[in-house]
Amino acid sequence: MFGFATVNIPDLSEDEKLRYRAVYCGLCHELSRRSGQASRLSVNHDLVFCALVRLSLYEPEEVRRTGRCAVHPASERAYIQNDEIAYAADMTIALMHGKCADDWNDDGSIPARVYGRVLRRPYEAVRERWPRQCTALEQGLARIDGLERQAAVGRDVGPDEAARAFGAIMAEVMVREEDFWAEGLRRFGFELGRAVYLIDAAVDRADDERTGSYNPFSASGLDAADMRAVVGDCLARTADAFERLPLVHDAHLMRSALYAGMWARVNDALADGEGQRAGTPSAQMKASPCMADAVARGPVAKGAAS
Amino acid sequence: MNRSPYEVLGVSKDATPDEIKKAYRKKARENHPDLNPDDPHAEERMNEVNEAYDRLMNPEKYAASDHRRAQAQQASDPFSAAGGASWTAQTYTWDDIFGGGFSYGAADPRSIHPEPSAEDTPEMRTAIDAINAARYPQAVAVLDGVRRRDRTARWYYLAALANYGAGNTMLAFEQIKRAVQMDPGNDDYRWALGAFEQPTRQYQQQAAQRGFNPSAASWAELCVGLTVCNVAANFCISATGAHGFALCL
Repeated sequence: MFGFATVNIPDLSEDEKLRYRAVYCGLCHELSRRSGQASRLSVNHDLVFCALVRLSLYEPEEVRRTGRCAVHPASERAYIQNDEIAYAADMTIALMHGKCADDWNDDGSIPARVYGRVLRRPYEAVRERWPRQCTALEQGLARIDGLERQAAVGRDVGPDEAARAFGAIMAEVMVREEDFWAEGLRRFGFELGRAVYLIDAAVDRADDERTGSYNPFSASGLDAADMRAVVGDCLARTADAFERLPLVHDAHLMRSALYAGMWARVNDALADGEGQRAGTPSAQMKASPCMADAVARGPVAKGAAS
Repeated sequence: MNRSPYEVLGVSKDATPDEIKKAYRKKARENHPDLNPDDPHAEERMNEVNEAYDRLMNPEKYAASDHRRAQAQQASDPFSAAGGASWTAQTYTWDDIFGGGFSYGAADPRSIHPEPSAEDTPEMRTAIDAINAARYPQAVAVLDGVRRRDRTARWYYLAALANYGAGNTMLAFEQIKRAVQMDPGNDDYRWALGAFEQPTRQYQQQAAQRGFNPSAASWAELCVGLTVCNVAANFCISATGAHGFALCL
């Protein structure tokens, strides 16, 4: 799970890159603290983005720490700790656990099964702490699973339903407690979830058509330009919901994801119609021991890659 | 609330959304009950600040209740409303407050109000009324009841507007394209298709106004760097496509 709410690095100042990394590393540390090294693989940009929004909205105190980790044993890195980071870690575990169960059920993926087992106990604890969110997650994933099964036997399930089901999950994930901002956060989470689902679907379209997996764009007969407009409409709604929240701290950093990073993912997926560069979810998982480095270092010339 | 939201937040009436957000943060810090444990009125003031912010940023939410309140006020005291002293006696939308430039909703398909024509079936007339009253799920339900073989270009046009409003954007997109395909000479359908593309254009304009260039942006420039790292070997896959997505060691 790599995530689609990715920042656009060239837009960021040095301070913003370090800030992003401090939140990312904070989430990663929290994950390993509560459920071992393996759950670090779950860190993804969507939940980092959710954490940034909630940190900006509530402005809770942040404990600043530095430390080493298995991925970076040689150098100390700054990261932050607080209740919001802990909450984001819980939600990361819940989403990853749900995804593993899904991949095992759908594709018989052995790594997903193994990883799902690793996450089972941590997830049970998360479920106890956040029953509303976890119920919404389980219902939403069951709904998506049901839609995929119906589509597989040729039923018309409507192209929007699965994205809305994922939106409903993210709406609940965004809300930690019911308060004055819950409505605005749900609205934002719903649109963000839909956007993430649709971008994922655009990226995976070619692969899904090859393997016969459900993809909402495949049945729709929409071409690349139409898909761009559909996702653009969703990102416009996401941005609208975002702009109605009183977010000042880290606003430019978050807008870099909202107005550039996510749109770049759409363009990238639709540019050649192949949509396979981002790889399968499991490839993404393997590729993401620490995505924070990417942000902190910025673009590196292709030739520098190993 | 008798003070206007601008007064509560201490901003001028031509404040931009970002200025309102900054003003809100300042007032929220000053009045937050957690930061003022000895002040019994802090919570009350915080609620007032929250509502003031929400009124300016989510005016649509308050439109209906304000309208009812204004009507009730007028009924009980027919002379009071004339002066328009109370902020709540008027209803505002986001566009009234900030102008169209800040909104994505100004020209999207929800702004299209179809008019009934003589050839419309009773179902279509009901659907048109529902669309114009923003009762989109009802419009969808009525239109879904029309048999497939009776689905004309106009049916697809109305279904597109209804589904867009109900949040089924992908289905709506398919339907408006179908309407244009079935009747390419119809200006209403072509206009509506343009409106479907409008939110994306406005989103891109917003991005440009904020200094982002989304068409030039590329997440693929992300380079997953691993420093001296024992586990690297386990993760060392490199999916280098045309734009490159690689692990840097």
